[in-house]
Amino acid sequence: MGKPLWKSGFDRLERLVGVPLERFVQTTTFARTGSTLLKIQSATRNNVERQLGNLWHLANLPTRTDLARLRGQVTMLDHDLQTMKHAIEAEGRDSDRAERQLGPPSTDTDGRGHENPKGGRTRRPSRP
Amino acid sequence: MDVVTRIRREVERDALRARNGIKLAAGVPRPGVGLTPKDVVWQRDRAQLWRYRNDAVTWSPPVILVGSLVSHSYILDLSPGNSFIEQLTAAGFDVFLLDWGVADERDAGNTLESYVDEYLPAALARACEVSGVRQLNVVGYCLGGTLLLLSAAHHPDLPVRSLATMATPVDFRQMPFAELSHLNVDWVLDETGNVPAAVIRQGFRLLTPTADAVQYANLLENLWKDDYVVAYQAMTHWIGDHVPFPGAAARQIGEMLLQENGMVEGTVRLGGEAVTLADLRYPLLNVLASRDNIVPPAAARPILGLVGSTDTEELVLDAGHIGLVVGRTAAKVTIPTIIDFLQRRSEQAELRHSHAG
Repeated sequence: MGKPLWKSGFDRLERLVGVPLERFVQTTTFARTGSTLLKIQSATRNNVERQLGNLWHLANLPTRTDLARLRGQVTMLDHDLQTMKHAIEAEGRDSDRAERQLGPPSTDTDGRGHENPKGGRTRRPSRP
Repeated sequence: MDVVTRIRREVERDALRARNGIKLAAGVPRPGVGLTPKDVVWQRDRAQLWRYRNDAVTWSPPVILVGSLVSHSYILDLSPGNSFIEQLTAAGFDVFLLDWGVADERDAGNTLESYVDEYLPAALARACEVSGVRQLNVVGYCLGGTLLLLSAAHHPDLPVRSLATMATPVDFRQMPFAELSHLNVDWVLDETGNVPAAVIRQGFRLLTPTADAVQYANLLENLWKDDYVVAYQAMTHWIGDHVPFPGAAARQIGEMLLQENGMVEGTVRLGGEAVTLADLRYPLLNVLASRDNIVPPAAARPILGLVGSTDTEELVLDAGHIGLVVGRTAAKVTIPTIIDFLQRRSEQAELRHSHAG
């Protein structure tokens, strides 16, 4: 069953307009214009923020840049914490695996580990 | 068909159009997306590994899907009856999905290494661990496929039996907006240090300036079909639902993959080491969509010539970028072909469940 007449007409018109538009957005001209506009927008934003920042600083208030810097530092701290957490988890998994391969550790009735010959305490099985 | 029958049919359809049109205009709730039951089996930062529940797993090893970084992964599980994942589980696979989550300021410093050398290998290892297998069949969609290729090339010891890539770009010079390769990514970053979702959405909209008008015309034509309206709602929701892109990774993609065309030229360096696709030796299926305007076939086709695998296949489908994973072509051609590829690289397993915990 064919398309309705209006849809066939629409599709023809759409391709008539759409094809050149799609070609245009992939041209160097479009890319250069887009880049320039983005550059201007970014520079203007930075400039305005700098000027506003000076005003805020006069009133001893934090600026957006200050907050961004703080946020960056918190993010880095969070990242370092996560890295440490993953490392500890991985180490825990490795030691669990090693313990499983060696068999379950024997424990006293009170749950304390046996003294080992070197004087240290045997490791208790960690939680999964 | 005689004139009277045609007129009667059109009148009936117009009545249905009016009904569905009123429903849409009145703001009928969107259909749920990503509804296939699943469990989170691994999480790192915003990335999560999901395992889909399946009471009838008949194939081993499991399949793990890797989604794109610029959009939500629910495109792979759009809606019941229109879901890649649903079809894979129905075929008897134990299915995992690596979802990247929504990047925020904590992810702004994520580099390609974060995904290729950290998240991906860790997620694959976890999938092996929870399913008790040594290898997996891995499927990457769009940029997820690119990350997968880099990871598999950089880590020849990954627990991978085979790879399938769908609409996966490698020749970035053939991508739309390749002319923008010298754009300074910092110009588009927001205060979180990421490329905002709105910029990505606008970028995709610019690729097909008339797409919105076409969408509305198609909706009007098919407004009388209830299932079309439901699919339309789910799809338009996904199309407008991009996620921010981590700034550091965006910079690397701009410099290494776009400007240098590193995957083709073999100049990609991750963690200070050269990564060349020639080091990738897993069996590989590359699926291309001939009408893809986001990842044109020319950008995805060179994969097979670049990898070191000898067992390779290519499938070119008459579909668009999204049509590869949802819709009729996906359900009838793409997904069955991928299932066939996966089954040929799997063994029949005893019937078992795939539930976490």
